[in-house]
Amino acid sequence: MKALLVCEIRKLIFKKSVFGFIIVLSFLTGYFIWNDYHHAMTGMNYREQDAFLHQYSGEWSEEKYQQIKEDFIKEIQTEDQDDKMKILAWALGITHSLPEDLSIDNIDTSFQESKIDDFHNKVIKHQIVYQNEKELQNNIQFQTYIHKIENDLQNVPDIFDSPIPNNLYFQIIGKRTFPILLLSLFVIVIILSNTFGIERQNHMEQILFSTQLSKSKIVFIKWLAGSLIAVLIMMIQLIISLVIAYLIFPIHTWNLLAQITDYIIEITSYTYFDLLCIVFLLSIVSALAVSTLTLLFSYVCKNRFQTVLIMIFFLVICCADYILSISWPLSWPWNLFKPNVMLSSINYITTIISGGTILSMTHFIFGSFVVPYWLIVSVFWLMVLLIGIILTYLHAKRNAIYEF
Amino acid sequence: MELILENISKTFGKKQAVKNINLILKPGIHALLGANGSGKTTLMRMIVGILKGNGSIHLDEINVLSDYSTYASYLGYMPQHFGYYPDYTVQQFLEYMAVVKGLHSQYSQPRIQALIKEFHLEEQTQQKLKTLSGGMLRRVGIIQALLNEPKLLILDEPTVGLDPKERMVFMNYIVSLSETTIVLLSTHIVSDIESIADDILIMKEGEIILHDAYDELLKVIKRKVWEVRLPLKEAKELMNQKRVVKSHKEKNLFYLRVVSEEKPHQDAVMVNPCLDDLYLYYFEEEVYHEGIVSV
Repeated sequence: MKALLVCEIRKLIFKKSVFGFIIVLSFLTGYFIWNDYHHAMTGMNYREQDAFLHQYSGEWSEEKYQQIKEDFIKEIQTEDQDDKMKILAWALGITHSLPEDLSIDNIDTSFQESKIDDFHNKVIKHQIVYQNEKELQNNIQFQTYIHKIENDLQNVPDIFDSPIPNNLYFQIIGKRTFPILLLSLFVIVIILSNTFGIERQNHMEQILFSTQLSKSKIVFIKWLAGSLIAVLIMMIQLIISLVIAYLIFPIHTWNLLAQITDYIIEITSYTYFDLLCIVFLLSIVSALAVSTLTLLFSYVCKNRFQTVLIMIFFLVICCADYILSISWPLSWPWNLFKPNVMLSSINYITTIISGGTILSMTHFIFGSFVVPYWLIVSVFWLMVLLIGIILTYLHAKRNAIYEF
Repeated sequence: MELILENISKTFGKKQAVKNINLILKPGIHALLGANGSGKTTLMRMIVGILKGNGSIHLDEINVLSDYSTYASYLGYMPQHFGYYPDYTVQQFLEYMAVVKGLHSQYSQPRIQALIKEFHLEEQTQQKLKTLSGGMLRRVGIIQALLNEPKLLILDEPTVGLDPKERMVFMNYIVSLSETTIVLLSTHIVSDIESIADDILIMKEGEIILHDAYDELLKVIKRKVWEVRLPLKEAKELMNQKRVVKSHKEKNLFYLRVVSEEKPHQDAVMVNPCLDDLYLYYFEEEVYHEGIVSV
């Protein structure tokens, strides 16, 4: 089984053209990420802000809170109030606009308003709930969601560190979702389009299907090989993005509550590690979605050219609303499961609330159940993959003997 | 082991490609002769189990349809149009075939090396298949059929593209298998089989019209084969009247080999028949259509 899988993978990717595609794709991914970092950091003092915040890194404690508070008060007393003050305010959980008349005399009132004194050991976590509770206190769905968040918050780490590199990484990944993901999907289509056609193209069917290895088993192994290659290609792109992130602006820790740094804490109970896992998962699901459709069409057509044409048509349809601003009927469920936009829904920390209601596709609330987007999409596409495998497996079993 | 074919027939649309064939083959070399379209390949594909038809095929008690996995484990098959993955090297391709044949690497590796040596492909093991010549590819195809030491070896036109030396190596190897293996091979090159085949099956229009040992088959045309040397004009006249199975120019005369019930010319001399004569005797029309015999 393992040997056969290796052979099938070798059959699909051990070609100069395929290596060429993967190298060009990887180069473009690296270039896009590097270029975005370069543009994002030009003229910004992210590094200074990050270094300033990072000096307080470590487990959150009463002492750390007091130290930040003291530094904040000192910063207010200086005439030159720069970004440091805002960063410290953020670190203390003062997430709404600071009063213009903020001074050493009324700072305790400001802290009182933000209700952080009662929860100083989990100041940020409290603020997340508090901030949004005020905005959406009458929304039943929101209350369900808040309840989940409150429960989840019990498990998030009490670690403080600068989230600036983390946020920059996720912003860039989100921004580059379209070209990187789409290019990867095209490469997957091209590589896998001949998976089931290669035997017919090379007149191998007679030899292959006259062995004791059943046709259905060969079909299953081909599915496995195709899916693994798709996942591998996507993983390479993600790993490249991470390597470049670490080379340009190293991330201190992933074990940190996800939050944004422009001084507005949104509703979330994810750590950056959770987000990274979701990015990897959705990218893999995206790759599997396209590989599943490609393999299905390849099985039906047994022809590379036809499969590529069909899949390019599919991907163009997927991108049509993005490129031409076309709104399709049933666009909401359609957009939900489109493989090329899955990563746009990873922006869990900036798009969750809009206009006083939950618009983001990050979570779905059914009664008292809160189901994350990634779970719904993953289950859907894994079901499609499973159905594809079963149908082709059964078809191969029924048609074990060929009609030439 | 015995290969038993009972009432085998196959129809493509309105054309009956194989007509009610009943056959028992035992270990040995069985040559299948027939013109293009006579049903050889169809019959072989049915025996291999990759083409559905009517009737039943057994290897001893193993039914091709109901227990194909076991059946295939005894089977080696080299199709007429040998396919391959162009980007695989010889070694990779044979390893792949060993895997799909369910052979353990501890067995298959030495087996591959032995067959590569046997068929003189040692220097090509790391070459991609797309870079090999037609003869080398054919040898790779033969090796893959032999990987699992088959008890039933089906070879459809195996010697096409092989040079005389390669054909000799191949034939010698096949002879060495004949004690224990049922070898069914089809060919157009009758000289390949006349010295090695235990029996010969002649197919015409989907039927096996003759099935016997080489010497017995030749009795059909005994005293019917003649040789004569004639000037061009007379040679042309004779070619229009009789079945000329061989002809070439010798100085100012034309040499003709004729199959005829009676003496075709007063100068004709009776000679011993060979398989070529028999083949051409039965497939005269096809031969003429294919333009094989010409002056």
